[in-house]
Amino acid sequence: MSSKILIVEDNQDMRESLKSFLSEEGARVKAVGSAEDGIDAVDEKSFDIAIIDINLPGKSGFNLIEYIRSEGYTYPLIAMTARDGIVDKVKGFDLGLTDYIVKPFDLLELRARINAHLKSSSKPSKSIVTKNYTLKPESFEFSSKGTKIDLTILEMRMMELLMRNNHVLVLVDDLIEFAWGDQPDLVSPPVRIHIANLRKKLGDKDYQIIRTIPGVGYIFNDPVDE
Amino acid sequence: MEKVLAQTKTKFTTTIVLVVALVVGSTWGMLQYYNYTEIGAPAQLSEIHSPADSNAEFEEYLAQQSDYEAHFLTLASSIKNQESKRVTRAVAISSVLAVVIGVIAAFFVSKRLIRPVREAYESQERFIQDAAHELRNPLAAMTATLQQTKQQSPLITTIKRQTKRLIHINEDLLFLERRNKKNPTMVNLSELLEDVLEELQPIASRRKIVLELSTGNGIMKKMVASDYVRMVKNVIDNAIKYSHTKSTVTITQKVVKNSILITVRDNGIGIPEKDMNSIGGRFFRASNTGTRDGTGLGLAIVQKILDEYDSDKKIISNADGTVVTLGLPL
Repeated sequence: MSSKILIVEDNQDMRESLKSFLSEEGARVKAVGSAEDGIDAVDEKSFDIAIIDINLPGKSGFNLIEYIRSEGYTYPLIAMTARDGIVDKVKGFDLGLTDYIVKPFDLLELRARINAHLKSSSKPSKSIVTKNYTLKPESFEFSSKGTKIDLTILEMRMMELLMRNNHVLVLVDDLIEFAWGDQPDLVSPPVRIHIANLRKKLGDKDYQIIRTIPGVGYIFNDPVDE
Repeated sequence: MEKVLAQTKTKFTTTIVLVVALVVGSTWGMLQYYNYTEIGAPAQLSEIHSPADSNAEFEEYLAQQSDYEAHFLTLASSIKNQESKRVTRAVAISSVLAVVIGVIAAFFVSKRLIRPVREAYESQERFIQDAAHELRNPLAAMTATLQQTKQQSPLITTIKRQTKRLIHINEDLLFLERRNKKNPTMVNLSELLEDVLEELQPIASRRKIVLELSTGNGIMKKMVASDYVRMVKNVIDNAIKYSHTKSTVTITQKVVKNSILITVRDNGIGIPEKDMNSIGGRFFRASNTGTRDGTGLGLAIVQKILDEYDSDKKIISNADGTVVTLGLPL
């Protein structure tokens, strides 16, 4: 991640935390504490993405979002909010919000969202490596601690998306789109069966490496957290 | 709480109907009695004769009238008969009228009486909502900071664990006080239940507990998927938590007549009899839960969801374990 990120958050600890996390990820971060300072920052230089707290003292995050769009900037805007209900309503107002994340959130989740919205990061990497597993999408190779594991093409595709989002929730719909994308006639792909097979091949008998979030999706966990 | 308000309203209404009926009825009755004794009867009597001026005159009059005594008695009994009919009819009409007025009055009065209660409740609800939402900000800062710390110490582990716990309690509170429900859709409860078991498997394995599932296939219901998940997850999570290690938790889901019955049976520590009535109350934890982790909000949430779907639960428990049955209309 070598992008220019604007953070607007009034809670200083939160702001510092986000700044140091994203800086360590390689981003160039400008962090400010109010919508007014946000407007100044937006006027001063260009960004690749902005992460904006909605509930700010003075002008709200929505004002800032409106301002950024009215100035003609099209970069992605992610709202942070403590109230999940508000954004849903305002989303319909079409202020130009790209995405939102509800507090408190996992920093890895934020990183995944940022990556998803930054086009630059969507270029496929040669291989995906987690602590115990390695997947090479181009040569269809998957291995656990050096031992090769045979996966079907569908399993390989699903595994790729799960591993790319290590520790972060992957929605069933996204899995389907990623793995079955070119077969729109398939009504309800048997995701569950393929996940079950993957677990068998990974030796994940306690459902810890691939965790289920009922009715929502799956989280790949390597290493397995406590 | 909606239930409590509705109950209060019903109780108010009944009381007011009774009170108003009693007041209106007795007033009407008294008026009738007054009419009869003070106005009616003397008037009737005055029709028979004008009052005597002295005793002597009266006795003379009586002597004169003795021949007509029989006639007089007949007349008197006829008047009495007529009057009693009139009173009966008046009482009948008055009681019907009293009830009608009572119902109408009760409707308005109870609405007025319940208003401050409702307002107080809603303001309390709003306060909890606001507070819980506000708490998410510092919790977010804590989570983000803790996630980046490279220090490894039991202290940090404890703070991380307690932060997670705080977030858990806070989210539970938000759910309990939530106002707007999501739109229900047709969901496959069989698949969702399998998913929930998959999610809970790591916790069960850690305690060496076997989860045994038997569910009918393709059980569908119009419901918010996350409500169903939250509900069964809380019940099964309890069963795992309060089971002895190396035991079995059995979960069955089936359709019986027009209901979906979900039964969770454990061989755990059971719920003490004295706690049975309090179970499901907010922050209530049974006296034998000991050091097991928990917020005391799990079953309160289960009850809230059950209420929202006109459903019910039954808990049977003894020293050998607990059986929780959830019944949802199909």
